[in-house]
Amino acid sequence: MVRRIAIAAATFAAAATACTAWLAHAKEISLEVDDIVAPAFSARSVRASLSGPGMRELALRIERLTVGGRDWRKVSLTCADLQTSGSRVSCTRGVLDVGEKIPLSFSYASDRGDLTAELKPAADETWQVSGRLAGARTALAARLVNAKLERFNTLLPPSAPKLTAGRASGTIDLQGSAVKARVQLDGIAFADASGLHAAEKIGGTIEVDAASEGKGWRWSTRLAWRAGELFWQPLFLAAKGQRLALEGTTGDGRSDIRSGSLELPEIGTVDLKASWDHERGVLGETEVRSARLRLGALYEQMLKPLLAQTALSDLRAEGDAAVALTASGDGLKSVNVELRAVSLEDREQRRFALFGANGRIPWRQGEATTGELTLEGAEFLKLPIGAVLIPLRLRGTGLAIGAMRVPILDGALALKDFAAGTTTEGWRWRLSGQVEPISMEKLTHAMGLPTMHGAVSGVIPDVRYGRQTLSMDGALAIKVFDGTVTAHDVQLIEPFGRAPRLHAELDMKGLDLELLTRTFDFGTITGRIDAHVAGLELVDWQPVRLDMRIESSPGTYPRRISQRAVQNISALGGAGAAAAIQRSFLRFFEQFGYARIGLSCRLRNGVCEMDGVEKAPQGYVIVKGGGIPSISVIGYNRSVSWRELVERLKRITQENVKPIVK
Amino acid sequence: MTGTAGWRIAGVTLACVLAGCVTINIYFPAAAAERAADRIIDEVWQLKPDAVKPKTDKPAATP
Amino acid sequence: MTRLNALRAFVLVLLLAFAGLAAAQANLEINTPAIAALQRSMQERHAQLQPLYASGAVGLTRDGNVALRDANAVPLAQRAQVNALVAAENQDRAALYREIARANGKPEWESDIRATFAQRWIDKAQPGWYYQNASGAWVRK
Repeated sequence: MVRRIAIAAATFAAAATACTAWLAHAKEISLEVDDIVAPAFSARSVRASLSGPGMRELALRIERLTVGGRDWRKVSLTCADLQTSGSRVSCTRGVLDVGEKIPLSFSYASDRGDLTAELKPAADETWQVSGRLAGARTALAARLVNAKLERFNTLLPPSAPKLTAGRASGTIDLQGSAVKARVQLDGIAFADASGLHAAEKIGGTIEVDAASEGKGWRWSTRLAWRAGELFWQPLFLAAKGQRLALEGTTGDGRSDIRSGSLELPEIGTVDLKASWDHERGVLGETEVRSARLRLGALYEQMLKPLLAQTALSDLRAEGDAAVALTASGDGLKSVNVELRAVSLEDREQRRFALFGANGRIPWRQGEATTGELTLEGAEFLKLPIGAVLIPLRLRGTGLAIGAMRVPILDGALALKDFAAGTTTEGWRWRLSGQVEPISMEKLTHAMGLPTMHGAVSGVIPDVRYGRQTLSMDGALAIKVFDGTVTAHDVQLIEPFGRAPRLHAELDMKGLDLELLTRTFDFGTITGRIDAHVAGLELVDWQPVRLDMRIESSPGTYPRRISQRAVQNISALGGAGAAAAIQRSFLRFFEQFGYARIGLSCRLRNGVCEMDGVEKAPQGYVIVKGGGIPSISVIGYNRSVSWRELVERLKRITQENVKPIVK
Repeated sequence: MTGTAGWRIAGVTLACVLAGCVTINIYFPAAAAERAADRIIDEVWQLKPDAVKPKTDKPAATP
Repeated sequence: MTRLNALRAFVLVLLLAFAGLAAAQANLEINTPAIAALQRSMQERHAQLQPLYASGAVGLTRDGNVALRDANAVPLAQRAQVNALVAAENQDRAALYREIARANGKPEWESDIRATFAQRWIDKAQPGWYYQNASGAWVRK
């Protein structure tokens, strides 16, 4: 620093002698210099004059002053009472004009180098320097009282956020080649034009100690953040008494942080080491580690604002993580994460929860690693999930899990060959596995659905996710209502979007109607049915297109239908039919026999084109009678709005909660 | 002759301006799209609270 | 004179033809579950976005999206939230344009539908809201 000043002074002297002209008049001495050019400093059209009685009025005017790439126009320094006695020059009523007129006083003794200067821009604001300019023995002390930080705006690059408020008070001491600064900051506010980088009411302290060592500097700094808030897209942080202490060296084109520690109150302490190559602008060997980060506070203080409007926006987090990572110019080299008793819970909506997660996740650049996670339990959409052991294999951005068993109620989901990775089109993953029988009673109870009997089990064929589409090769089979349901050609587009779209083909074979009707309180039908749904298309889980056909399964089995079931089927066609039965003699029978039941629906544009087992005059047969007493149900309306049909079904299954059969 | 030719060109240009054929893409039903947009925007921004009500799942009184 | 009358008739026919073309266009299908779901979600979000439009923090872009214009009007603690709102709204808007095109069996209309919406959002915006003009500059309505 001292050397720089010397160089600038030498250049100034050379330029001045080259193009100056002394003009001596009777009452004025003036000096004119066209240009003064030095590295990082230039002044154009400099004019200095001494005038007045006893040559005591100094005026120094610079048309254009450039320091560090910033421009000031028409800068002037005037002094009404310049006093010179021997080697001493002083001024008590000076004014510095840099757009704003700032009162100034100074004195300088050129023999000893003693200097004092004071700028007093406002009654409560002072910038003061005093000390001695004497080469290697230079000692200067600067004192700031409520220094307005907005004054530094002109020194900042145009793209940087502008300071709008803030004061600094403290001292900066220069002793030979050692610098010591103790500055307190208050009420700092800054913002850029978009408001994405902004702070308000920032208060804190900065301490810097530096000393030259060899060709460079050895330094240490301590920052404490006491007050205020900061938003630095996308991070929002509030002052909690965070402290950052760094110690290191700068010189020879590089800076090294030999040791650093970041104290985050309530969260934990992060230790770091790093180096920076100034010429190439790249990070050298860097190490960041923390033995214990408390995830609850980390989530509340730092992650929560980032995760607004996502599924993770309202979590209760618990547990600790130990983190260690190393990086260099070519990116991350290793990451080690260790989880201890971590629990996460979707607080309000309770869509998911993880309990007691423990384990370690190691990652190395260009190397395969294995880790392990254990979960004591979890909950997904109200389904309780038991303890899970997850063996992880990591390589690059890829993640694989060989086999894992997820206990669900009394059954389990056994997954194998899970592999995930990122591509330019986002995440891709695949898995396969099987469902070990889960009781339908327990499953429907847990999900708040009408109790169903049977069990879900089946093989999960190759499931793939990529380009926001989940697709399944092969068939998924579920055993339910004593029959089987198979789904194939399943494709789920944008499963995590606002309106997921599902395409599938469904086949149901031999479903027990008695179990089915009992479950949905539809009356009682004894017998079995098959159903085939082709071209099923659900958007936002609502059918928009399907070709469905339900019919009695082939074979011999008892076929009975209760009066209530008949009424309910009739009610699907409208209110009139049910009333008709009530008025006729048929109301005396509890049960009827039937030969076949069949109904089809071809859904297009919200309208269901319906048909039955066979044609009837002006209609179609839904239930074809058989046995004694027998009853047939005939539908007349072929086009029914899907919405209306669903409403009717809902009304039937909801209104008939109380059984009529005694 | 030149005078009439000038008229004809002017006439066609006028028609284009009035009918907005500069922006009409015949294959895209711009007017219908605009009506659809208006209906959706009115609902999202609740611009006509009485005229456009979100559909309820209430069943019809009589089937 | 006759020539001029013929010309008038020609212009009239041309105008009628265009008018007829416009009138003949059937309504676009917008009553699908996907569009209804998106509409509902955007309607709910609008309660949060409305004050942001009014303060100028968020504006309507010329490509049928919304964008953070000047977050300085929003308290610091809520700026991340505004970001998330803008992202979620744009996600819904993109899905809406795509779904309308899809519901009408013309996925290739998506960009035309987006352009139509872009104009109508701006036309229907309240006075004081900001929108982007054709050159992308923010204008206060």
